[in-house]
Amino acid sequence: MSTDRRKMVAGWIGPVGWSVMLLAIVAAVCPCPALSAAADDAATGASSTNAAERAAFRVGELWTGDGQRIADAVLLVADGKIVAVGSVDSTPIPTGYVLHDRRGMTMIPGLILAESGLAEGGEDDELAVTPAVRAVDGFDFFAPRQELLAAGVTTVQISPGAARLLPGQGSVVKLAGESIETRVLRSSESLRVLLTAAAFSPPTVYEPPVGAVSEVRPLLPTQPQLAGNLSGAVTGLQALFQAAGELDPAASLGTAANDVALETLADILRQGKTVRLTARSAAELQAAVDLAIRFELPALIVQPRATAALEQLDWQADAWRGVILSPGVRPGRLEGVWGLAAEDEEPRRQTAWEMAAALVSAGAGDKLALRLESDEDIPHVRYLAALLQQGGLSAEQVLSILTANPARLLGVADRVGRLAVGLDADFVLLNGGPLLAATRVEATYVDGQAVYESQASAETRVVSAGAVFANGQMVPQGRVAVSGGKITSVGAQVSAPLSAAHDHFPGAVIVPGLIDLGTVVGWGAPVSERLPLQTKMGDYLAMDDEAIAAARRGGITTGLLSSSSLPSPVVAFKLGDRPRVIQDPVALRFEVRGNLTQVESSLRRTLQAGKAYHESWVKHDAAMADYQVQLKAYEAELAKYEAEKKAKEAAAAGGEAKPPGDASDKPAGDKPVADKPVGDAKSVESGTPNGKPTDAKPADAKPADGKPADGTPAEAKPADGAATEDPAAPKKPAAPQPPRAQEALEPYRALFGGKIPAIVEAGDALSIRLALKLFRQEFSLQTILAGGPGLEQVASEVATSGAKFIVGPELFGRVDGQSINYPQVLAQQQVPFGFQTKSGAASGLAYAIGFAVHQGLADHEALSAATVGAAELFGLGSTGRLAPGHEADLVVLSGPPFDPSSQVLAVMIDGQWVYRRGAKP
Amino acid sequence: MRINKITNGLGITPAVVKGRCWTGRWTRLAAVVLGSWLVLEAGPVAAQDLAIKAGRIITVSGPEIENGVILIRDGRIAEVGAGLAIPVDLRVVDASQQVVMPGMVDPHSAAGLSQANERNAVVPFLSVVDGIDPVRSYFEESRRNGVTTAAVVPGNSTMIGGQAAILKTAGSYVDDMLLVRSAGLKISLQPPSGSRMSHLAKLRREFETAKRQLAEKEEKAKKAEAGEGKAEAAEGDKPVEKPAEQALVEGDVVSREGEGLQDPPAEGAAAGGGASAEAASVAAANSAMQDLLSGKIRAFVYCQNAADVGQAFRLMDEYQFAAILVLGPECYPAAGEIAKRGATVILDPTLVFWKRDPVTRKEEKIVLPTIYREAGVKFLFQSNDSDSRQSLGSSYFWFQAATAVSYGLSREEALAALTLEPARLLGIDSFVGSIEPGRDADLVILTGDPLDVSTWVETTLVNGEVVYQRADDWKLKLLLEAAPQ
Repeated sequence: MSTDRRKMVAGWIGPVGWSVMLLAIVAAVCPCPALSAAADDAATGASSTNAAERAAFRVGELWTGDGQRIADAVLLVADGKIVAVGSVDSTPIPTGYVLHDRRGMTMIPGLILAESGLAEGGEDDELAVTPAVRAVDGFDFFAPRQELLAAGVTTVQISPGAARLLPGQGSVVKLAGESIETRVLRSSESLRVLLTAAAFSPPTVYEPPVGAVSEVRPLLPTQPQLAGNLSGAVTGLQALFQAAGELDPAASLGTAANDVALETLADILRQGKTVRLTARSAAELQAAVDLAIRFELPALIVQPRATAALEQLDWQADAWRGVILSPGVRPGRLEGVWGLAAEDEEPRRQTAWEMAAALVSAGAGDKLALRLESDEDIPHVRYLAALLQQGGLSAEQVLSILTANPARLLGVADRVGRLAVGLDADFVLLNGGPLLAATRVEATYVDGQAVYESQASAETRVVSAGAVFANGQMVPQGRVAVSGGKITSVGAQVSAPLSAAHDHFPGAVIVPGLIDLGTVVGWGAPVSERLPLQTKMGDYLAMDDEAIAAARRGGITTGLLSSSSLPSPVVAFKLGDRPRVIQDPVALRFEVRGNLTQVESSLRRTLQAGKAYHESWVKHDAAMADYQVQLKAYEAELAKYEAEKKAKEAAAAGGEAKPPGDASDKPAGDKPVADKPVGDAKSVESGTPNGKPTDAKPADAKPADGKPADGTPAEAKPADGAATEDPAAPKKPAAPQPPRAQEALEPYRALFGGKIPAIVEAGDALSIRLALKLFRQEFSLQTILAGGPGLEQVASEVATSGAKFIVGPELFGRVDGQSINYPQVLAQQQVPFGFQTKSGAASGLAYAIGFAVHQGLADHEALSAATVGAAELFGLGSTGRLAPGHEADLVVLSGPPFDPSSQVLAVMIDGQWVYRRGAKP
Repeated sequence: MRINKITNGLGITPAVVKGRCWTGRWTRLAAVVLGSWLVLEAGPVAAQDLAIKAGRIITVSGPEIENGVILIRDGRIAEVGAGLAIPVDLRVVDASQQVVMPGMVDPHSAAGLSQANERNAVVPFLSVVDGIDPVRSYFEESRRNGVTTAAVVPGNSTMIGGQAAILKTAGSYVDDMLLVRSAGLKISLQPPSGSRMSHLAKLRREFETAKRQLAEKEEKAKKAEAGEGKAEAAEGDKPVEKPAEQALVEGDVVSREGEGLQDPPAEGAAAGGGASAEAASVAAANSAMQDLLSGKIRAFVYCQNAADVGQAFRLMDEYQFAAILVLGPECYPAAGEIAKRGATVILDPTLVFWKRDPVTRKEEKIVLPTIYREAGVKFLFQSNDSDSRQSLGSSYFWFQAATAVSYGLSREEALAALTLEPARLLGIDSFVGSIEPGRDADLVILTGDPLDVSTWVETTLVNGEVVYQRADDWKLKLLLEAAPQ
């Protein structure tokens, strides 16, 4: 009993699991009401400031920034501040809060860069020591910062000039915000000191600025400035700090005898502001550490390239504020990659992750932050930070390096850096784990307001799902990149630009669009009239046809349409709102039905007529080819003849008088005419007396490169005229006469030429045999039989004849109490086959195939037959397959293809979504 | 009495630092004042009492009056209205086919100066009054185009460029023309070269110095008051910090008739010698900065681009001073912030230009009046006096307003932006900017609508005197006669 129960449970898990999954998919992915409502919220929130004042964000995962992760979290925002954060169970959403359901996304705090040059980057003062300069004064609050916000960066430290010893004070600003006041987090954050080589070549000051008091303060003499090298810098800084320390705070201010710079410096030091020491080499680092120890400076070490000097320090002490690492590499560039650069003084530079690991083990783990090699790299900050994981840092630790740590280092932890109650609501929504390579920023919020929302371009689209059917097999967690209507990449990972639009269908399966080899939709109504075979059916396809829309809701993207009155031409087209013809005709469709004796003779007559017409053209083509050869010979002869003639004339003209101008004509005349383009020869020589033979040439040349079918008889005349003029001239061969064109028979040329196949409907075994006899054996045509019943009797004959098969509308028959699964029979006989619906219920194709699968057809064979196999039957190689270069026709199914529970979630034709389940038409 | 009726107390601001020059300057100023007194007493009083019969009067402050009459007595508008009886003693000017509007007020121009900018970056002690050349073509052009009042402000390239003055555009001597002697201190946020950070650091240092000097002065004054109460108070007479705007409108600027002339240079005289003398001299030279911080005068702050606008607001908040923003062409990204502040700004003379977007590389047409209007910013115009102007049109004050109208500004707003609004911004709207009884008789008689290109200025009156008449404009005549060839 108990085992039975277990079995039952086990048996139920599958379907239940599926339906749960399905629900999840529907809830999370489809443009269902919940999501679109949320999207509406976002739209209104972005446009009006009031709407978002109280907002609740529900996300799949929330990283607080200080090492914690909360799954299925809720963040409440009121008036730009975080008022609650926690898991969905522990954080009820009060009324009055607008819910933004972002369960598919991950939320992290707005990223913080611990150093940047965004304040007027690169501008340095003339003077080397300007402690009064503040970076915030050079910051443009109105400059567009979209690129940085799009990278999730919301707060930056800005530093003054980078090429002076003591260029001034750094500031901390937000990249967006309601007003300037709220955006300036700290106008004076730290004092910058540079001990690097960049600071060792300040200009010599020739003319110090003159104040309003020039009368009593003499001009200072021309003087070189600090510092020329590291020792000069260190000595100078020691003197400066010493003097600043000795300055009497009470008496100093305002007395002109004192240096203003020194006063400011003293003031900064008294306030205990962080001193930001940029030092790279071991020597510079040692100097920085010594300076910090000697003058008891609260030191922040920036841009080290080795950590030996730093590992010994007591990182528990508050005086050691922290270390700001530089990644050392520029994203997307090979130069400067670790281990390749040898220009430095260091024998071997430590990588950023090695330094990070070393500093973490030295106890400075929560005092690490990041700067980048260039402000241009800020858009790639997450990628560069993720590299630190190579040193063994966890993703949480790395995220802290971009959030909580810099906030603490910069003294702004009470405003930003974490997702915690009371802090500014600066956060970023991502479509995946924060440090994963493929993760993108979906939106960035500052003070609870959306300041960036990703606007994916429709140029490239990446469709991802639980599995992708590519190359005859399922690729789990696959993606398909689509651009310009074509598939550009398929696989577990695809290459696509960052701006690509993403459509994710978790748990779903992407298969190629199904091909219905015998559809009745396309003309607005079933086609039953007798059509002349030359009819281009593609010219009459209906637009915005509901039947087409219904068919593609069933996953059909390509259809072959013919009249039900046979023989008929067949057109292949895509089932878009504006149907697109792929090939017209793609085949001719015949039937073997009724009185077989009569059918045989009439069909044979028809085919013979067609064959005769075809052969007359084949003959003509052969004659034409022969003619081409003769024509070429004639042309060569003509050229030779002309050259001789010209030479003769030139000799005659030269005998009478030889003006110097002729000298230039002569070489042109001597040149073999055949070398020249025909038109060119004409224009050059039109002035010469014997224009006629050359005049004839362009006309003669035409049949050579033109089509033999048109215009050849008309062109013969001038050639004759030229020939009659001079009996010595070579005779032009006569072009062969083409056979009389018969429009009604034209399609047979393609058929017998092997360009298109014949589809032969045969409803029983005898008919199939006759069809094979006539089409395969007598006329050796590419034959594709259509039908099903009777197949079981002649399956081996079909297989050996080399004919192919379209099975449908009946896929399943019953003979003598045996059920026959036609597709399975064909698969077993290895006959290439496809499916046709031949009924208005085209959308049922998948279900019908599903039943065949249920009855024993392998599902991958069924899928191949309905897609790539069908395409190959008709040489429609550009569709039917999920492979690069193929047309982007695909179907997203909620589950395994042809599974009874699977539903069509979306259909794409030529790169455009033509159907999304749940979307309003 | 009219000539010096609005002499500010700051009129005696030392033009040079050197203390010894004081006596000379004092005598000279006294002589000028005495001279004008004598002229006024001796000359014919109220030479130009007029009655203007106007086809249409654009009063700006009120509704337009069709077929009205303006009565002018003693250089001021006595009465205005339709159907007024004209007293027999008034000379009648018949403009019944024409349009009369208030003389226009140019809120910011350096064109009246022989040199707009100083080479020295910090010159708060300078006043444009000493650099104005009344025979410069700017004033003649102004009269020809109906501009009767102009704020002459130092150029945009000097960090602290000196003090502005407001003048009538007619007169032979600067003192004849002066309406407000110290109309504000020009500050430029555009760095002459190098970085904005350094520029602001230097500027901030000047503010800090002035702040300290002001504190010291106040302390001194307090001490003096507590002690003997000696008449040493001098210029620091009202150390109480008034709200800046209020002080500007009703306070020192217009009320102290001639009074300032009696103030001796207190600090300079009191100084002993050596370092303290230097400090005192520095403080005296910096009195304009102190006045700015104590709210006695305003600043004209030039912003080259949007970044400067942000910094200007930060400075204004930090040091609590009032300022008129003079914007460069690239300031428009800050329009929203300006609107939030409710500030009235003076637009760059180039109102319409093309710009290539640095990101999209697309050429974009920037129409400043549209951008600011849509952001909700109240703005004024200035004419373009530079040689680098792109069109002749922008050198005409009225044309700037007409341009804005062609991009959607209402006619009423445009006319106010030429007259009453700048007068209000400069705090002189009780004198000029509208046609109302009691206002100065600064009027422009036009052949048609003021914003119409085909309209000519027929007559310009300043203080009731005809200072321009087209019939007598031989230069214009010459130009127009020469034109067909």
